[in-house]
Amino acid sequence: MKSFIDAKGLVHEYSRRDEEGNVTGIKRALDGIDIEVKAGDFIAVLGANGSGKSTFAKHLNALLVPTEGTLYVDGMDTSDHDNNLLIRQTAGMVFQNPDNQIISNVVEEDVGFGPENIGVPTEEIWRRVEESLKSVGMYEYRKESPNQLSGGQKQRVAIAGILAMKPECIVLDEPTAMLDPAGRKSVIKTVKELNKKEGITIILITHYMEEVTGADFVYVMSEGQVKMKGTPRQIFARSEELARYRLAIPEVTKIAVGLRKKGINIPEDILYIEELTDILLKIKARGL
Amino acid sequence: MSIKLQNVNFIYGAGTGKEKHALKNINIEIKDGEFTGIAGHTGSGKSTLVQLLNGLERATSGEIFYNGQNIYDKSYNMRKLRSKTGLVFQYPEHQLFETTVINDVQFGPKNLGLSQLEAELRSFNALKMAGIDDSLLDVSPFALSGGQKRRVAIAGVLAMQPEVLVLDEPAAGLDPAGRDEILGLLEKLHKENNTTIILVSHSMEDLAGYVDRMIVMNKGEIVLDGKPGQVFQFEKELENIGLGVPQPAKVIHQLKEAGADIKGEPVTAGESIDAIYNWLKGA
Repeated sequence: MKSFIDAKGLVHEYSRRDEEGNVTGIKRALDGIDIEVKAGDFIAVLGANGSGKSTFAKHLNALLVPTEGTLYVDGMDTSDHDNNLLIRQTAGMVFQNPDNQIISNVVEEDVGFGPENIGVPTEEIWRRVEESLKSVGMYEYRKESPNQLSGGQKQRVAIAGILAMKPECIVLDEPTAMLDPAGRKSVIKTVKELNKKEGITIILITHYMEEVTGADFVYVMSEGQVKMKGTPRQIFARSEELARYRLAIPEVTKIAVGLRKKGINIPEDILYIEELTDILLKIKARGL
Repeated sequence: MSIKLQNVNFIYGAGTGKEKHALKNINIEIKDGEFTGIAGHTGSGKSTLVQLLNGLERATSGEIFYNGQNIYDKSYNMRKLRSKTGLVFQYPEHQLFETTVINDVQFGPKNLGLSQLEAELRSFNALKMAGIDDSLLDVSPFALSGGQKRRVAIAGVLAMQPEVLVLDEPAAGLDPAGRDEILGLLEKLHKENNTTIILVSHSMEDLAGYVDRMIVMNKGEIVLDGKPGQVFQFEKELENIGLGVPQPAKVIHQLKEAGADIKGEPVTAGESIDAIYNWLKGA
């Protein structure tokens, strides 16, 4: 089967210029990225600040074009300018700051803005707005002003705005960095549901480790390269390597690793609280 | 410096018909040298509280005392208060503006009227404290990484040598290593300089490992106040107000609910490992 996203040797260089426009320096933000994503997958990209993960996200949306290498989104070459609009409808993007993404005074108008822009007939727009707001659990707020919403609710409205474009994939670039715990939970839950129920391909870029546990596959980036890839369990079993890339394992995994170091026979790749407590209670019942 | 808030109320838009009661009858006493965390979800009133502490906003009613002096007294020198309380806003790196790191950091001390030498000395010390290498002094702050920029911005506040440091979500948006660097810096300031620190955050994990005391706010009121271990006993209540407890505390709660006889109230991964180990060993 053909990959939905296919990056091969993807390189991106930012050039710094002086006042006359002469190039004074080049920074290689992406340095030969190979990533393949199947349609319907939930992929997480982890990486420290400055690791290149946001640059990669911008490529998925054709906001940037490859300096070298190739990137195909649903079979479309992102370096071909003619594909831009179609790529952006196929892979919608949600950014970190909800306040920068909301433009309208009424929630439902904000969600309808995208489809209206691409010439969707009015009746169809309203149908999509209703559907999208329902899937992110914000339908009851449709008549409200986005200003009155919490950060998590705003992010869900931003996601609804993307959904109304009927994308096959949503790329989320640190969507929860500015949210409180309840907001974070609601956004991640929404994203997981869209993946499971509607089969939308998800690319979640984050450095909150707990948000990654539900992903099918994880890529770890550092210095513009993919340094690690695997399932969440495989990745989080390599805590020392993660630390080298300025990342950490989830707290619950830390407890398992710590106990194992003290000689308790417990797997190191534990991701969930219930998983850990079950094992611990069994060990206690059995005796050390 | 000790801080005391007495029956403090704050109302946004008082008299406009669109009033919002952001702080309701707040009473807090923070001791000199205490490391306090203030938690609350978005809109709980914690940022408003921060602005009152720095004198940026004035309480609608109630009094605030610094070292026993009422800051709303006519004779109180508000300007002096601002030089004693260092306020680090959210995303402080957005406020960097100078051409070099050292110039940016010494902007504040120079504004205090200090000599060039004194301003520079303070800035060197502050940057060292913040873990910024000497080789970066003459670099443009905009060429630094996100975590470095954040630490330079904080160094700018430290160079003012505040007696109280108030930080609003200082670790937001940083990677795990950057988060540890910032929080480690605060711990060092607290231990070595005995600076009174007020850390405002909605990340319970960040607060758990560092603060002596946690104040939890909801809808403009203080709902919980105590040591992290005590506050995290109220897991249901914290979840109901959009917060939660750190994963390690959750693990311990679930084990205790299942009948495990675990001693103490561990909140960090390290504390939990020891407590669980002792329980398994039957000690």
